[in-house]
Amino acid sequence: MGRYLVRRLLLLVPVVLGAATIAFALVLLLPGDPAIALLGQEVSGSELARFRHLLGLDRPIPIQLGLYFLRMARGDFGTSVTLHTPVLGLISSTLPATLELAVASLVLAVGCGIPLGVFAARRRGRFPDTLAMLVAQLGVSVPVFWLGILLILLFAVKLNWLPSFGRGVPLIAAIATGNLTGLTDSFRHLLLPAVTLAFFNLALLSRVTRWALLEVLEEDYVRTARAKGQRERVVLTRHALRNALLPVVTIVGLQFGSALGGAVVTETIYGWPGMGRLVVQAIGQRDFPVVQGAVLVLALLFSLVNGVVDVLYAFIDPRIRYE
Amino acid sequence: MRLLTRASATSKISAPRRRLTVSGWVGAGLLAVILLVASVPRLFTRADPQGGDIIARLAPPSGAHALGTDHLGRDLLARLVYGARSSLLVAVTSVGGAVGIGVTLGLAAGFYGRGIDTTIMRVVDIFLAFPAILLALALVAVFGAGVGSVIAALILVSWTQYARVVRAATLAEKGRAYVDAARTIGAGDLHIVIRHILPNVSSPVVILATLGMGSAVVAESTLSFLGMGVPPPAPSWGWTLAFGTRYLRDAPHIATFSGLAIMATVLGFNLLGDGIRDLLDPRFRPQ
Repeated sequence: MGRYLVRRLLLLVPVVLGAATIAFALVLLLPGDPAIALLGQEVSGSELARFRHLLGLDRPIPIQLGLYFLRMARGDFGTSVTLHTPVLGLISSTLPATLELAVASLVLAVGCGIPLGVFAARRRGRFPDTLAMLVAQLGVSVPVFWLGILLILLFAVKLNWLPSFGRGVPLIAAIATGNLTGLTDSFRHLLLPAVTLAFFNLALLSRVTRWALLEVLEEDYVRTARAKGQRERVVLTRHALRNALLPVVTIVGLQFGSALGGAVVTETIYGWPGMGRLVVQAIGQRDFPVVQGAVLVLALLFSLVNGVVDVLYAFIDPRIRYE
Repeated sequence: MRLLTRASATSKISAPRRRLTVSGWVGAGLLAVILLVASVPRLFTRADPQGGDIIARLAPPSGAHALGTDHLGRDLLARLVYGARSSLLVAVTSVGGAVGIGVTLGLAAGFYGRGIDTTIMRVVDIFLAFPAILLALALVAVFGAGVGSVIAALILVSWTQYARVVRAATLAEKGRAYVDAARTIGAGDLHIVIRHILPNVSSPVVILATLGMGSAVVAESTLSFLGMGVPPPAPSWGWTLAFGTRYLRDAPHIATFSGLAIMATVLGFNLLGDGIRDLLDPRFRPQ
């Protein structure tokens, strides 16, 4: 297991360097002077020249890339062109909101998607199965932003039950202080964005769970367990579901990553003050230091989560370790 | 035993014919209608998608405008009918490009192995490190908004899945006897890969590509919603929906109908993709 862990961690190194290279290339690909893209239009010629020299933009591209890696390693992500504050500060102040939303959506997706998949698999070919899979099919076909808008229209505009904008009290803070009013406020703000972000993953997870469970239910060991006279509930939970959940674990891990990406859209719709909205605003204002930094941090998080899932998967299924 | 074998060998009972599932046919039907709409828009509307009547702006569905009008008084049905062309163009071209790059690199990685495989797969890992919509958004921001930029961005974020699938399938196929046989009769690498391996690894590609078209339609509309898609005044479902969200209280029909158009198309691709998968992969066939 130790060797596998080291190998998996080492595999992250080229990925992280490659992701940083792509983030670096984003500014190089911009038409015009990268220094203007990084500093904005309202800067004097001498200041531009000084900045170019400082960042090494007047040097060959490989050296620029090396200097960029060094700056990233020191945590220097540059300064926002529009907000004139360090990018790292902007990222660290918005990341907790994104993580809160991503985790909440994942809890919803897992909490509803897996039971729905099990429910459908146990009633294979019957009406409840067809209905559940029809809902799941619609779930993977609905554009996230349209669903978000429909939910706002229904629950915020028509029924006036839930707020349509903003975050409220951070969930962790509300839990830590035991502030009940804050907790309610936090959940009320979180519910619609979390459901919106979870919907696609929930639908996908229910389909994968159903498929995995149906495949496992055909296995000999399930037939043996039934032949031994075990109750169906025991066969399902102790034998079938434990094995069927192996591919589901992988999907859940990938879904956390996709929730980080999906947050870009959900946060924009609900005015959720996270990194996704930060990136969209930065792109709209052509604030490339922020775009570069946020894209890189989200890519690192995405890779890290995928790495952790791989390790978890190997932990659950010993066959992976010995391959 | 011998009798049984002979009986089964000469039996006239053939294996059950593979058929597209009902849901697959529903998907194909939906797509056929959308394709017809995109190919012959005049069959469905006589209205000009660009011509607006400012007095009739945000009008609800009526006899004059079957689906109502948008914020500039343009006929919504005409906007959606002509927008189908742009959405399908982006979907087909971006998936085509992604398949071209992904299949080529996947075949090269799987067939040649070693350094080529390692290099290509590390590049795949790097691209997969980015949430797709985020990378597409950043790329369109860099390239500048436009149909070409959207297509290029979608190709760059989706080729990796084809490369991974084709590489895995190629690794399995290249050890088969028919590849050795082709080599024995003097076939070159390119001939073996194109004439023998490619047809055998194409099933998962067809399934992925069909499902990928639905994802591309959603991605294009999402980019438009975020202000980075096919630029106006060209009719685009994403933009129509994005503008529709600004008039949710006064004219909910804009967001509703444009959202339904996107959902129907994606549903069509997903149902057809699932149907093809059921058809080609016996494990998924309904019992």
